[in-house]
Order: sequence, then structure tokens, then C-alpha cells
Amino acid sequence: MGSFLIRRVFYAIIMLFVVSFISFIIISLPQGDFMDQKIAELLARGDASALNTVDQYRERYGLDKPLITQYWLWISNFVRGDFGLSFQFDRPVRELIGQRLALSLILSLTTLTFTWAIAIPVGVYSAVNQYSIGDQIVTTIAFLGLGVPGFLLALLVLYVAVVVLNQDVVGLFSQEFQDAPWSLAKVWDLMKHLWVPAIIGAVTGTAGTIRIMRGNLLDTFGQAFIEAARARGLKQRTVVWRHGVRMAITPLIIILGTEAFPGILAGNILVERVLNLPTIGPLYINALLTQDMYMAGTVLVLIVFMLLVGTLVTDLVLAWIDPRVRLD
Amino acid sequence: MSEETTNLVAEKQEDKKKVSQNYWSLVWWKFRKNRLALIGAVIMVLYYITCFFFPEFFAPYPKELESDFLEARPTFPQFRDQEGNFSLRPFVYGLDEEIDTATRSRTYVYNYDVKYPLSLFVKGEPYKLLGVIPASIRLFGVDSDYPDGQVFLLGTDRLGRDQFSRILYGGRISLFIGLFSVFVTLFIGVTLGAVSGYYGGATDIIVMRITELLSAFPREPLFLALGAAVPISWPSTQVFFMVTIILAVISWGGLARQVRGLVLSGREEQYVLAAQSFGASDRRIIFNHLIPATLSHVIVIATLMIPGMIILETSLSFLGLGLVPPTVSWGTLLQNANTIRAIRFAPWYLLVVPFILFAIMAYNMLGDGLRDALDPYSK
Repeated sequence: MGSFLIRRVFYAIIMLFVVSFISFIIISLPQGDFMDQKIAELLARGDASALNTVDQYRERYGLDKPLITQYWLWISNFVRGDFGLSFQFDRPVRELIGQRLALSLILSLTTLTFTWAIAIPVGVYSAVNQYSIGDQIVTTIAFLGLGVPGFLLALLVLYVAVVVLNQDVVGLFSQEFQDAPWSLAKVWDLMKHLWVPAIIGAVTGTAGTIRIMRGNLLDTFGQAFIEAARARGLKQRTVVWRHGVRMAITPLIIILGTEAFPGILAGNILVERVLNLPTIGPLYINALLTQDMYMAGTVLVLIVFMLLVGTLVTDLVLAWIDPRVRLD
Repeated sequence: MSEETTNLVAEKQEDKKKVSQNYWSLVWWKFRKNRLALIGAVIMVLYYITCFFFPEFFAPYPKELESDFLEARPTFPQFRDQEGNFSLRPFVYGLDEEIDTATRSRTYVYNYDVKYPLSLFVKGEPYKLLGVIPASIRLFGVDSDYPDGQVFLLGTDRLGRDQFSRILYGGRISLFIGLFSVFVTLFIGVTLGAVSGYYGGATDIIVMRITELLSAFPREPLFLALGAAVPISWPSTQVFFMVTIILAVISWGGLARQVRGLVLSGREEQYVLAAQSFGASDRRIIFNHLIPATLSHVIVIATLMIPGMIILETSLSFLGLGLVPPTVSWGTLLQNANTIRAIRFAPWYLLVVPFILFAIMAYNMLGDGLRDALDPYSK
């Protein structure tokens, strides 16, 4: 167990370095750098003063140094927690991400709760009553739900909300509460706005989870121990939940670790963009569009970091739950 | 009496049709039984005919034609006019410009007194069918007796361009990217996977490490980052190919791993041993024997990958990376729909969405049907 952990952590660290290097290169691939783009923007606005100070800015941001040096400076600060400076906002990346992290987390947790609260009972029902009318309906809906990409659904929901329901669903807070300090009223406002992106995010997740739950549960039901449990005279509910579902829950744990956890940052980037939420997704897209290198690179590396951590924790949890799993 | 019975039996056996039991005919029979898959296939064929091969024929207007009707609402064919008169021939109402004093914006309202009848096979702006054959007939349009009439099935955008036509043209790019990137992915993934599985050893380790590295990145953010790396100044065909290659580069890993698994088990088969003892070269064994054996799985994976590629490309252009206006793709058309202003005052921009949804759903149904059919021995 100990050697397994050490090996995995070592591997993860190497992977992170390689990934950070590749990310940095990818982000720097577009021609020119942030200053070129900024100059173009200022010139378009008719402000030519920046042309004089361009070199000073470059030096300040470290853009005049060779790429490898820039990468090295960034990565050596990264491990100390200093993620670099965001050119766009002229503030430390760490501060910007930190501000939005809480909301990203809340949104992900809400989406996950919705998804599992719907998908698990429905999946179990679908498996237990296989081929019934309910099962057919559920399977069809799940199939349709899988095909619909999130951001298209977000556009449609936006239309319905704005035109039909006449509500303001953009962002996570109404005008008054935007910069207000936290209070009970603000929390209530947040919840009023939160359900829209959470539902949209939950649609795809639910469809997939239902299908997986149903498939796995059906496989589990075919095994001998279920028959033995029934023969022992256990109630149907006990057989299904304590024995069947407990075995079938494994893939869901895997999904939790490998998709939901990194999904806090990276899940549903486009939906967040469409609805203009103050979470990390739009921050990342903006950074890509303006070539804000450190911001985009940091987000990418953080996502990979969460993926690696999630995978490791998932493996450990699986080994703990299921004694048949061998860690080697 | 027994003689008659024997004759009857003999005749019955002669009448019996010889039904082929070969694998591909079984696959076809099973596919035919799946109604959803057939519907999906028909829809896909329709999409390809209207959007991919002959959009110029099906669209009443060319994609760049700017009319004077800026952001006009859709004029849909009617059969019954305001007084209740029914006419067999569909017509559209005229559009009148109006300045809305409250919002100080220009809107268009229907003029119920002006009716433009529609006809089939109207002579429109000239175009080149399939890029080669010059033609100018379009499927439908306002009757040529009324040169002022316009039929905007799904409204127009801010420059007065007909959205319906642009959706068809956009479909050409989006559908093509979907198909083409899957082809490139297949090419890279199948070759690398088969070679890696057949030879094992160092080649295998290297290829697998690369796929692991690729899969460590989350797909969407990586794709967005690579898409942002494409210079905006490039001509659209170059951008198009670049986007295709990027899509293939991030997708080949999964396919390669699957093919590798299939080849790993396939290379132990007897016929491979026989081919090797005949002196067949490795290349021949891989490409003529092992890869065809993986074909059924690969077809299913490929078909189910296509909608994912279409969605990725649409998301990329929607954000303004990769393909940008004036290139017409479903993603760039969606950009218009993203503002609250558009949703409130020009909701017809959103009508691209059902087009995309149907295409994706049809591909999913087709892929599911293929997956069931290509395993004809299961129930």
C-alpha cells in the first residue's frame, strides 16, 4: 500500500511537470503575446499612448525574456503557490481564481446533488422493472438527454426564461446583490439563480448516470448472490439496495473522482459562458482569447492536478470499498 | 399417398429461397429491424444531401447576399390569409420597416396586404453545383413575377442575410469537419493502435505513454487552448484543416487503445500464424488481416465519435476561436444568439439549435443501431 502510494504520487508529480510545460507551450503558441493584442485593442479605441510604454510593460510582465525562462520563473513560483500575474486584470492569478473558486464549487456541488438525486432512484427503478413502460420511457429520455450538448440547452433555457418567464437568469446574482456583503438575502438570491445552470449541467450527467446505473445493476442482479439473498427470504428492498446497488455503485464512484472532481473547474465551461456566470470557466475562455498566459496555463494545470488527485483518491476508495480490488 | 407427400416436401424445398448467412447480410438484416436506426440513417442522408452536397440548390439565397431587411423576422409560407381565404399555393407576407419609438430600433412587421406567392424551381442567383457545374435554379423562392418579394424562412441577421440559407451552408462546414476529422482520427488511431498491439515491446510502451499523457488533459479545455493557438489571420481553408487536425490529435488516443486491445487478441488467432508461416510480411498481416478484423468495432466507435466532433467544432467557433465569421458554420451562426438583446428582440437566431440537435440525435441513433447490428449473434 505504501509503495503503491509513493509510486503514484511520484508519477503524478512527473506528469504535472510535463503537463505544465506542454500547457505553457500551447498557450504561448498564438503569434505575438499579450502586449500585441492589448496594443491592437488600445489603438482601436484611439489611444496611442501605450506605444511609448510598451517596452516597459513587456519588461514588467517578463514578456521580453525567452520562453524557457518565462516558463521556469512561472513554475518555480507555482510550486510556492504564486501562480503569476494576470495581464488582463493586472492582479495575481491566485486572487482571481480564489474569488471564483467558491462559486464554482457551489455550482458543481449543486449540479452533482441534482444529478445523483434523480439518476440513482430512477436508474434503480429502471433496472428493477426492466422493460416496463416506465423503463422504456426512462431509457428514451436518457437517450435524448445524452445527445443534447449542454450549451445548446443553455441557450434554449435562456430563451425560455427571458422571453416566456421574463426572468433575469444571467449571472448568479441580481443587480443589487452583486457586490453586497454576504447575508441571508444574498444566499437566497444565489439559490434563486443557481438552479438554472445546475439543471442544465444535470441533464447530461443524469442521462449518462441513469444508463450506467441501470446497466450495472442489471449485471449485478444476474449474479448468484442476489438469488441467494432472495432465497434467504430478505425483503426486495433490502436485496436491491443493500446488496445490488452497493455492488453496482462502483462506476459511479469512479465518475465522481475522475469527472466530477476536476469538473469543479472544467465542467460545463460553455454553459457558464452562455449564462455569464462568475465562475472559473469564463475566466479561462477570456484568458485564451486575450492570451493571458499565466491565467490560462494555471487553470489548465490546476484541472490536470485535480484529475490526478481525483484518480488517486478514487483508486484508494475503490480498494477500501471492494476487497477484491488489488492495488498493484 | 406417401408419394404425394414426398412430392410436396420436395417442392417446398425447391421453393425455399437461399438466404445468405454471411456476416454482413446478417448485420444488414438486424440493422433493418431497428426502426430508430433507420430513421437516423434517413435523417443523416437528408442532411448530407441538403447541407453538404447541394446547399446552393436548397437555399433560396447565397450565403453572402445582404438584403435591405436587417434583422427581419421570419416570413413563413402561409396557406390561409387574414380573411380566411385558402390558397393552394403558399405565399409569404411582405415586410414593412417600422421604427419602434420606445426602443429606437428598427423592426419589421408583416404587411398583410402584400402577398408574394412562392413557386418551386425558381431562378435565383447563379452558383456552381458541387463547385463545378454552373446553375441558377433553386428549389423554392418567391415567384419571379414579384422581383421585390423575399422569403426569409428563418429571418435575417444584422446584415440582412437569410438565416435559413446560411444554416444550410453552415451545415456543409460543420458536417464536413465532423466526418473529415473522424477519418483523420481513424487513420492515426487505427494504424498506431494496430502497430502498437502487434509488435508490443518498446513501440507499445511509447505509444501507450503518449496516449496516457494525452488523456491526462481534460478534453474540452485542451481543445479550446489549441483552438486559440490558431492564428486569426490565416485564410479560412487553412484554419479549417488546422481545426480538423487538432480534433484528430486529441481524439486518437482512445481509438488507438481499443484497436490495440483488439489486435492483441487477434494476433493469437490461427490464421495469423498460418499467414506468418506462409512468409507474409508484418505489414501485410496487420493491414490485410488484423485491421479488417477490427472493422466492426471501429465503425461503431467512428460513427459515435462524429457527433462529438461536431459539438466540439461548434463550441470552438461559438466562442470565437478557430473558425470565425465571415466563415459560415453552425458555431459562428450561434454567436449571434448569445446576447440577451438578440434573445429578446431577434429570437429567430436560435433556430440554428434544432438543426444541430437533430443532426446529433440522428448520428447517435445511427451509431447505436450500428452497434447493435454489428453484433448480429447477440439477442
